[in-house]
Amino acid sequence: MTSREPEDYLWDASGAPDPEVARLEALLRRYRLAEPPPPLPLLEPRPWWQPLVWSRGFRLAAYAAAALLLVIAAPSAIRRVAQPDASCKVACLAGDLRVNGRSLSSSGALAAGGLVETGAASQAEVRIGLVGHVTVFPDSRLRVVEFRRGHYRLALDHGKILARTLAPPFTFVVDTPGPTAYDLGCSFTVETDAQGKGRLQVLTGWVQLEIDDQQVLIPGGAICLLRPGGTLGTPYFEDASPEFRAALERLNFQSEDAAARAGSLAALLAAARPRDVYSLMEMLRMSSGEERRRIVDRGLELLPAPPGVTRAGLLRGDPAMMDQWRHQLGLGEVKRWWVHWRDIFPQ
Amino acid sequence: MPAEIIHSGDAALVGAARRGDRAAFDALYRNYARMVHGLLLACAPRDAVEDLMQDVFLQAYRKLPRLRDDAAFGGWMAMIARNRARDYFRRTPAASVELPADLAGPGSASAEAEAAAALATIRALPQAYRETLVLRLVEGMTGEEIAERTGLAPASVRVNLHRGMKLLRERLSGLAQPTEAAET
Repeated sequence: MTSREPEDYLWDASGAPDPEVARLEALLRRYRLAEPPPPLPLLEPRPWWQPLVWSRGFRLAAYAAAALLLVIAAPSAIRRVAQPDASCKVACLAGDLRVNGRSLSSSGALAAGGLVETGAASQAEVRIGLVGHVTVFPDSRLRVVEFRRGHYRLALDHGKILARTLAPPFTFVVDTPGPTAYDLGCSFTVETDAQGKGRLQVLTGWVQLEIDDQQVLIPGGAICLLRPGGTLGTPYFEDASPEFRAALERLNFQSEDAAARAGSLAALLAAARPRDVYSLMEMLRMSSGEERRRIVDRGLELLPAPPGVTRAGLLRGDPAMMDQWRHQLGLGEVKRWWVHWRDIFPQ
Repeated sequence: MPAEIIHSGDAALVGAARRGDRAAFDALYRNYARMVHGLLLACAPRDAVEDLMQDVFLQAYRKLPRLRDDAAFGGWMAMIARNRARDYFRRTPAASVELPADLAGPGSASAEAEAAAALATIRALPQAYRETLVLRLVEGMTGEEIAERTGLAPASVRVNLHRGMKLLRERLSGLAQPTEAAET
């Protein structure tokens, strides 16, 4: 008999065996792992770099590199955010170009207040920082109104430009003698005379036109006519029929009597295709009463409304229902401007 | 049979295994196989334990470069084993059927049935108790070995052994008491 308590046997199997513990040991031994344990399956060698990647030295080196990068990059990043981007440059592509009243045959810098004028046979290209490019066609007068990071505003007094941009919405703006064009990330042309007659054509993406309190969204493939007088046109797709275009122009810009206007509307609705429902939707902005009912009914014939959208809702201009109906056209999301990144490159 | 104690060299073995030394990892496997086997047996079905054990060591081999402290290898292995057992039940819930503790009592004619009942009773105890008791009563490890292998403090192992054994005696004699808090 030893002086050890039975509990010692439970701890290290020494001393007098505790009968219950010994009985359980004998009973449960059958479940014990065999000696030697079964061999491990063949282990595939780890890639040689794996221990290196997870080593403390590697982690420390990675942290140090990241810190160093931060120290080097931060001042530059702060400068880029805080200071105006001075990379507005103009290059002469052909002919006689005048910049700020002086002839320019190669390239030069532009700043806010700068003026670019092309002659009958000249063409220029303006680089808008990292946002994109503007091609200035012959007989054009383009001013740089504002040029700082996040705010690039040009004014086309007359002539034609092609803008190719990749920037968040409302970063790039073009004033015309009439409405103002807000780029929503796309490529588009603007053409106007000094009085404000012209047109805006969106090649890809979306543009928002604004004048006073009127706004219109123009999708890729559509055109919006510009006219003096403070009235916005209704956008239409470039492949719309001549009858549709003519009727739309009369309805938008001519003061017709009621009978003539009803005739123009009938011609417009008769010539409309499913794709033209976008124009009909935009027409609803300026329509009321019977005219509004006729537009909605014809639109629903051409483009059935999705579930949950009602004629009554469309007639009262319910924004959510209008949106759902518009989505049926599959024109894409205005906010997804970055999907047009390829458009920044010359075609 | 006492476990082979070479814990003082385990850190060196872990370092060598991390560098891809297969022999070093084999040695770690031999040293820790019983501990992993016991932890798995404390909760997973018996017929799945050997496969799970191999999984645990394969996982450990792959993850070894991420182990920051070589001296913590035992606790790290125990964690992988517990996670693997938990994973097993998550993926195969139907396999989680346990033998009832009262399948057979002491004095049953069949030793096999009695052993199964004893194991089931242990597995019905709180985790800290059942793991410690399986390592002690099934795998034959001493309290000191259990502490060294699992990374637990010896005092915790001692408390878990004694409280777990007390609870086990009560349950086996049909005098089960309310569960006590386990030392982990």
